[in-house]
Amino acid sequence: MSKIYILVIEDELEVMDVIVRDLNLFEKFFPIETASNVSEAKRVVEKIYKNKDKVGIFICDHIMPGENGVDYLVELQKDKETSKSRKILLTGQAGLEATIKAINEAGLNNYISKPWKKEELISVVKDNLTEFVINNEENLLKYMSILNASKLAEVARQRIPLKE
Amino acid sequence: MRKILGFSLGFIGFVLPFIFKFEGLSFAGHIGLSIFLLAAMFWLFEPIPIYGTSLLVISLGVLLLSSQGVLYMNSSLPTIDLIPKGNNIYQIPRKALTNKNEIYLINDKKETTPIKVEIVEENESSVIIKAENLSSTKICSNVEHKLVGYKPNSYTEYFYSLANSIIMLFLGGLLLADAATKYNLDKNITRAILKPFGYKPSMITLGLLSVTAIVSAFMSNTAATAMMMTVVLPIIAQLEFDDPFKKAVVLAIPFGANLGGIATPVGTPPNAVVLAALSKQNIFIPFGTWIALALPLVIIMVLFAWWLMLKTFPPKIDKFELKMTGSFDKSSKAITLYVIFVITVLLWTTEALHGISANMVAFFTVTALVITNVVDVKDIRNIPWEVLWLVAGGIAMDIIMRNTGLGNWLVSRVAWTHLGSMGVLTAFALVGIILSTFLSHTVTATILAPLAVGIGVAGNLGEGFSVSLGAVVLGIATSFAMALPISTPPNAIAVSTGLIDTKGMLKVGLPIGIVGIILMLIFAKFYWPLILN
Amino acid sequence: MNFFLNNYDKNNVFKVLDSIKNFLNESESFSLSIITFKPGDILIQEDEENDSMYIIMEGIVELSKVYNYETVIKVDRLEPGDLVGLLTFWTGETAFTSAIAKTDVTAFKLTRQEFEKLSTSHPELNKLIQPLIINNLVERYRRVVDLNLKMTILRKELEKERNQLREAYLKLEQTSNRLIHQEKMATLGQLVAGVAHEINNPTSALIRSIEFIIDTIPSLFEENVKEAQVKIKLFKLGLENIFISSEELRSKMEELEKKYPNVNRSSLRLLAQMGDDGINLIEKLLKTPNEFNNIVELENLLHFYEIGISLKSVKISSERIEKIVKSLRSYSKQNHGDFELVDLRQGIEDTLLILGNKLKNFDFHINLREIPKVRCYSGEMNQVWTNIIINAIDAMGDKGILKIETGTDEKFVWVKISDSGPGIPEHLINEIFKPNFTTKTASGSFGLGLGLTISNEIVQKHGGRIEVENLKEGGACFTVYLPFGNN
Repeated sequence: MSKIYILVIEDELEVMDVIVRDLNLFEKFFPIETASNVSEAKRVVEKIYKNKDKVGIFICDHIMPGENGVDYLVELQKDKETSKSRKILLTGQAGLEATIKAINEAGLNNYISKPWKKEELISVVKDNLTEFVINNEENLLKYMSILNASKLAEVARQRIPLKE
Repeated sequence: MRKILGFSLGFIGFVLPFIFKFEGLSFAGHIGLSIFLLAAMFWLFEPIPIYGTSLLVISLGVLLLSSQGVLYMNSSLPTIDLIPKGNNIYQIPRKALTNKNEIYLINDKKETTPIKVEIVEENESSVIIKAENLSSTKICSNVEHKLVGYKPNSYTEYFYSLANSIIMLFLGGLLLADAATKYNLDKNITRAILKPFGYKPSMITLGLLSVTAIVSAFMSNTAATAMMMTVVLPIIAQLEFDDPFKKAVVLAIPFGANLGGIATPVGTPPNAVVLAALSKQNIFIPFGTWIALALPLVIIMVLFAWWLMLKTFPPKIDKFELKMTGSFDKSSKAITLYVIFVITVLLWTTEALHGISANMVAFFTVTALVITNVVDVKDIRNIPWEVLWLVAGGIAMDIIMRNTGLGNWLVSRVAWTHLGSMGVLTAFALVGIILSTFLSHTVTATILAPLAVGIGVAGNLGEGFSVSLGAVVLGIATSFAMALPISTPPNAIAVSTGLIDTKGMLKVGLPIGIVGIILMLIFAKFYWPLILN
Repeated sequence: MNFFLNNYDKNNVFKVLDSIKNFLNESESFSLSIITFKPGDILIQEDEENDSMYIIMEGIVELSKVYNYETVIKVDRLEPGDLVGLLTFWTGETAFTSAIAKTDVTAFKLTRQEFEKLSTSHPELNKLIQPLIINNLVERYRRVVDLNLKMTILRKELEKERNQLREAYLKLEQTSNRLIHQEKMATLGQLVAGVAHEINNPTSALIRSIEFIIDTIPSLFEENVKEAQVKIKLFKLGLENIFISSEELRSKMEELEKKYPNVNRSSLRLLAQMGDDGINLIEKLLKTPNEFNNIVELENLLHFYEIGISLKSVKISSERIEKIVKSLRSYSKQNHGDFELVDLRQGIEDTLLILGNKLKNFDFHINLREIPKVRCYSGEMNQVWTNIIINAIDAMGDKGILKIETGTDEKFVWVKISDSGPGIPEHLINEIFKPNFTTKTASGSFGLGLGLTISNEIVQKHGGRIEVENLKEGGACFTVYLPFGNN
């Protein structure tokens, strides 16, 4: 069974700790990986895909030492594999230009501004993971306890096999 | 790995009959055995898709065994006239006599009949024999010829397997289920039936078992399970409580589906497979008769499964509301579908009253659904045609076994008579359930049905056994295999939800299998013969 | 303004007139046609035929022309001795201008017939009149040249005035921009100071409360129970927590995953963060040395560690808020009254803290040596640091090295801020303090081209100066000198 990761990219470790704790409830199905800058994120992504696993969702800060978040998301969008992943900016400082770029070139799925609310983060991640598994996974039933169940059910119903 | 194993075993199986010569099996029977072993191995190990194997069986039948195939094209039986050497004394060539001292008489229809003879005198090239009351003066001059004991049939007979009347019945069932899904009839029926079961978790479990069983009686077990899961899981999965009730729910659905499939001929492919095998022997079990046979069994088993689930996973909560919303589609097409659905089911279940075969009704249903535009071309493409091919492969295998004498030969290998009729039925039931616990139910039925029918046809099992009884026991036994996640697709779906594990499934599935087999054998002994004979 | 051309003597005209009079008086065949006009009488009407020429004896005649059918423009002013209608008289064309008597005028009228008769009958008269006409023409020509000269000079003066006006306008605009900017900064400063004050109170409450909680929690446990002791220790471990890098965290998690395959990822992450001390503690307590089978028990224990971490995070974060607020307040200090004695390094540090996010991508080499305190407005000096630092990082683009150094010489404290950008083009190096010089196209308060001008002014106000140079190793270097001591 290939795993679907949540990858959090954030340079401030205190903030990272809080994000990871907020997302703890997903970890039973979607292991969380962390990276404190883009070059580390690239190594983590390479490793994940090497193991035939995938990243379901990137949660990325914008301003970080080294490459910035939006540029990285644009890079990810150009890659065949990671273009399927959902992409979220979780930041306090992306300006208008960077945000436009993220939407137009990185296919940004959501923008969450800091400080965020736990419920907001969870619901955004939940919706995005739901979209991801609908588009990339065969078996949707097992995610019903954690993701958007009614949406999954609707799609699963359209996929009902007639054979046995 | 499995692929390589499947291919090599299939190849070995195919070659074996060409290397070893089996006593009492004709040349054509050897070829039939080759095909049978190849197909059995391919079906078991799936190096190619199982429906591919089915097509392979049909192709090999056409290629190797039909009168237009490469082996029997332009061939004729070497024939000589008997040369009388006195009263009932004939001289025949050495080759016309088998080592069991038999000659093959040829009648006007070019059929060969083995006749035991007395040997009067032998020399190198000819034999003088004594035989009485010979019906023909022509005999076969070479007993080892490929046409001895076998009359090739036309290739069309193999092709007809694809349009067998049982295939039509199944086609009707599939398209009806397809259309029902399209207009949410399944979901709405579920909603309507579940409502009266109330809020008690135990009653809800019974409700789910029954509803799934009912739905699955008319559509595939897998589709019924998947549908029910998508209806119920969103409500149940999000609940924050950790209650055994959750497990009971996700088990009730697949088990209800597995059991419900037994209830009607269109409920699940194994039913169709055994009915098709029987139809080749001109034995037809009407739709209503099948229900009369199976439904009591299903009802008892559903109740047993319910009791077992409540025992194994007793719910801790006392109230639970299964909130379901939705309404019946009231478009004209949907209403047309409802009408067709009701008429079809009525006609199917009342075959005894009007005498119109369920197979014919099924085809009328297909016609009606198409001409009223209730289904469109997309829905027609949506039909799992490969399931029909799979069944057709079984029918072709049956033709091969019967025609080449392979069936009789295989059956005669075992001293069935020692087992007695109940022993044979028990053996069928056990082999059926064990094989299908690990294999596809349809494949198990496809491999075993011709044998079951063959044994019945051999007809030496005495009182209490009939061809149809053996076949039905086998077919239903496969449906009781639900102990493991791999046993049936509904089980696999249930496990894939992550709410139940293999252990939990085994706890309920295994007892259901065992009790089901015992109960079925009791039925076969005391109840079914009353209806079937 | 009489110019050299104007040496024409009117007396000549009268002499000629007298001789003409005499001549005419002597020859009786002519009756003298001396005509008088009242003010406003028209001698010649513009655009009309004219066959007489007047020689003004007394009074003043004005020449005027109707421009655009409406405006009457005065063209010339004729005095005694001048000729009126000379051109039409000679050419026979319609009159070019109107001639109107301004005062009582006495003129000698000569019709063309009379003139022709005269000139044929008395050729000697020609000798008298010709110089008169020529004189008149010369006079007119002189006046045209004079007029042209005057016009040119006027135009030049006009141009000059216009330029001065433009300059004044620009200066006004700059001053207004600068005032707006200053006002903006002042308002912002007040706002920031207000907000900072508002944040200060809750932050103080936060810090006190968290300290109380941290101190009190351990005393809530019964100290004799072994499990409680472990929990306290885990809690304290959490309080002492310093986050390890995510890379290190990952490798530790992988290690631990092999050791404890049953433990879920969230707990593994905490164990990895906790380190061996904590793991040993838990192992001892759970008594199942290598298998944390009791996940619930483990998670329960880890909660105490998590509480520790969270409290530490709250503590650190609130301290950080406190620090930022403090910086904000001192950064945005308003200049009231006299200069105060300030350590410039504090302002530089505040500025760096406040610019924090903008600076994330850059490396810093900061060497703030001990310097004497300087008399200044600290708030204004912070503007200087901000302007120079922002210029530096804008010049560097995505990444680079920002160096800040302090030091003293005999009279001055200096602050050197240098970047690793492309430097300032040589031809522009003298321009950069001029108002409106900007290389930035983006809008924003520092895109007006005022940043360095204002900085320069502020520094000058403090008796200091800013020097700019390009470094040999690349990049620009701004050095701010401020005097220290008693001045």
